[in-house]
Amino acid sequence: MKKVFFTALLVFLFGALWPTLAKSLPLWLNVMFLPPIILCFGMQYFRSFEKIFLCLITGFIVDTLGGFPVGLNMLIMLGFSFLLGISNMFSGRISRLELSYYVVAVSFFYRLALLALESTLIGEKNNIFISHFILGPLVDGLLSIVFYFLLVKILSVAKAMEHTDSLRPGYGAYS
Amino acid sequence: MWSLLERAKRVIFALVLSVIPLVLLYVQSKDTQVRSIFAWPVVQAAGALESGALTITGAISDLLYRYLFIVGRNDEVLSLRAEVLETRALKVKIQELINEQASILQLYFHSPAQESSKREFARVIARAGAPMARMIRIDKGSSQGVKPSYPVLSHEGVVGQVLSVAPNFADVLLITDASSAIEAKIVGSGARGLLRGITSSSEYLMEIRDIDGLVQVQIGDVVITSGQNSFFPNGIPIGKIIDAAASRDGLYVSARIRPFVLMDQVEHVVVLLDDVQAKNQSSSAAWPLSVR
Repeated sequence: MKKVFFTALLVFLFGALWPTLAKSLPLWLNVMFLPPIILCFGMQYFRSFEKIFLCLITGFIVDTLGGFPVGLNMLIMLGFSFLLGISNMFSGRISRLELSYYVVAVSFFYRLALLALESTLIGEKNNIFISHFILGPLVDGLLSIVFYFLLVKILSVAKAMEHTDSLRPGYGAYS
Repeated sequence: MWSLLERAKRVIFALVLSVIPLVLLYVQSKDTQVRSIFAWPVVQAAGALESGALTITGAISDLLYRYLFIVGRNDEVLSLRAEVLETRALKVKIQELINEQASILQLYFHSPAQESSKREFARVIARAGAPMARMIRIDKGSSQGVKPSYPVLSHEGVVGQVLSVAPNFADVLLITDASSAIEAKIVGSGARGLLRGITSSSEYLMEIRDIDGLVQVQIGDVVITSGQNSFFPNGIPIGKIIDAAASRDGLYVSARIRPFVLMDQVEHVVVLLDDVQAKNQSSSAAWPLSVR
């Protein structure tokens, strides 16, 4: 559970500090979205129950900081976690760089799901525009490289990654 | 058998956890104010962090600015340059202070809100929210009397409504957010309609779709709050019509509106602290979440 705690902490820090930096970003460039990045990392390195807690906690943080109805991203993250789990996409050996490609794909479909759910919950309108589907996933993919680097460093320093995790493909010396 | 039970226990536990988001969404659909209860600890902590980050980034940019101008100069030029910079900085600072004072005085004495309104001045500390949300975070919260749904204005006009509050911070949903909806009227023609934010990647815009087709709507017409079915008092400027088009059957006109407030540049706002909800209790409020 240490892993979940530190990942959620980093999500909170990113989620809280990004808006201050985003004050000076143009609207079309402010498309970073954390849930797909977290999902891919969780799918690769977290156990089943850790994944559920990760989705609930990070989803909650994203919902409260992002102005969504609380529970929306929690729900979508859980759904994606389940779907990605049964798809076996993350069962093979994936390096951290390759994981970023997965982030691009997951981010695209995640935004589609969010659009669909927001449309049903809010009504016909929402703030998603075309750059969210084109630029957004690419930005998420690029950002995930930095995010994963930081996250793995933090988890290693906090000894939150267990020995069995480090032996898993795509992590540490095997990446 | 025992292992089967053990496994079932885990599955049941996982199912119970998975139901939490649905319960939260259900609770909020019944009472939109509940969101604040969930959100305030996170907003409070994030607000404190953002405030700190703003101070640090300001100090770093000042430092970089000074370094870039000072490095590589000889002593004489350096001292002259420093003197000039110092003088300029002081001049700018004085100008800023004069502007700030003027802005605050304008907010205080010439705010379009009713004179009797209680107000709380706030500083914008972040453009909060995910990319899909049009929100700002201000440095005033429930400790200062700010509550969800309270109107937020700047000296130029309507900014938005408080979405959720923490003790010392609050999130404000901008009027240009697609989920925002308030009753507005067009000055001159007097036509009324539901004003909503619209999605745009490059600018902050709004629209009214249901204007009576018989009413003359012109580009440049000013849109103000109607004071009906809304938490806003009557007559606060919102924006200007930039284009208008009739529906196919000619029964309705839809107009796009550009807000007077430059949403990405607003630094100081004022929150109206009147119990507007009680005042408008009889009317159905156009609080954004109620649309959800």
